[in-house]
Amino acid sequence: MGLCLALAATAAVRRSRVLGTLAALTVPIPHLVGAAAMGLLLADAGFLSRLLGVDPSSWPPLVGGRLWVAVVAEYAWKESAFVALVVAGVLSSRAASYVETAALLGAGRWARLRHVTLPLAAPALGATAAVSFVYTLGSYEVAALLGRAYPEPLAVLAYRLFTSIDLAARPQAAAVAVTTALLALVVVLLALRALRRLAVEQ
Amino acid sequence: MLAASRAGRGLLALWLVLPAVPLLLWAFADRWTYPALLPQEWGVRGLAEAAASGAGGAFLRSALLGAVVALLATPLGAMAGRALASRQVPRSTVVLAVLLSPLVLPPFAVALGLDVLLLRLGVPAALGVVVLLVVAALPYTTITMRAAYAAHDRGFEDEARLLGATRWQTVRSVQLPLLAPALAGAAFLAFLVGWSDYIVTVLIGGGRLTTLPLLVASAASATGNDAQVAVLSLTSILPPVALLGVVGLLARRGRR
Repeated sequence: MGLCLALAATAAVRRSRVLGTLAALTVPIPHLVGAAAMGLLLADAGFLSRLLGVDPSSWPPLVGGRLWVAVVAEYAWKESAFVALVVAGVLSSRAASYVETAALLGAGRWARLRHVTLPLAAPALGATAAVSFVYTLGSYEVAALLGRAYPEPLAVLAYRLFTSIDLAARPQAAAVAVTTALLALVVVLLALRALRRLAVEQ
Repeated sequence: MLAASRAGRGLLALWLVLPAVPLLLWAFADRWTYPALLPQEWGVRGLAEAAASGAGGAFLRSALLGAVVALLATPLGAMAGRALASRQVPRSTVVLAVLLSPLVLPPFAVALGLDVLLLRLGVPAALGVVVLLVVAALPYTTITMRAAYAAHDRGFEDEARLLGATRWQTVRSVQLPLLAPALAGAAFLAFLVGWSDYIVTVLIGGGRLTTLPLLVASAASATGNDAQVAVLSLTSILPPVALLGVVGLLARRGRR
């Protein structure tokens, strides 16, 4: 979604300023507010079920269900706006002249997208994808609000263990925190390596 | 082709806007039972409930927290950014990696680890929250200011010094005006960190520092008060969006 938004916001023909502005307005919305909004939108008597005319009893359990739909939707919504802004920033400063040259040399729409625009967007896209992953991994409030009690993600598990009355659970909470931090570190290092390889190839 | 492109753009706009629609409707709905598509009774009950739950004080505390984080993290980020852009820092990659590490470390893990230490040292809860959030905001201010200083021409400063300006005058009348757009952008990002934080305020603040996100969370986890949740949520969105407008204006003026 972020890539599509960035492409629409920087397209040479019929550039959409509205989408760029909407994405910029979405970025500063706190994740917690996004979670509250997704709850009002996707709950079983929420706005979407009213809009589609589906009875609450047959509405799928998007909030607190087994597939974590509302949690995924919230992060995808917020992070897509972030990805769009960064990728659009890169494309708007660098893509226009390359795309024009490719068009002059006879490249069609798809050839320009595949061989010019996407390779230019790839580093920013990879970096923002890694940042989104790490952010989501370490974030607490959205999964706590829209997820289900069991199984719980690492952040919610750590918070529950840390605030439990049982003091013996504190070291377990610390272990979960260290595991999460290490996982994030490994992913970032892998992403950095992949991005460096991408830069060498180009 | 045109129709397909228009439909695609419509879907993208819908993707961004749709989650905000129920917030706007619920904020002014006194009664909105299923299956009505629009509220049956409009009103300000949500507003009254939000005010009664202490939204006013929480709003001020959140704004103050965001402002303090911005006031501390922006100059620190500017100094770090200037030093890193000048290429005179030994092992600058390591320094940058340390400054950016809060992006990788989950805030809950840091808060959880430091909570015990801060308690033992007797650091007041509010101070602990501010310090942790300033550290969390440093990556954003450092990246922004490093990019700004990399594009900044130091020749202007040398010229001003040559013409007899003091060090402080050079900072005030040459550096600050030239870097104002970047400083505003960095301050905005740092403000956002303080304004929208939940988990650090809960873990370190220990429930004594009630900010707006804490109110949103407690209202949203209860049922039957959707109007109040919507009002509190909109209250959390408006200040950052307004600030974004100001920063955008500053950036446009800076380009002229």
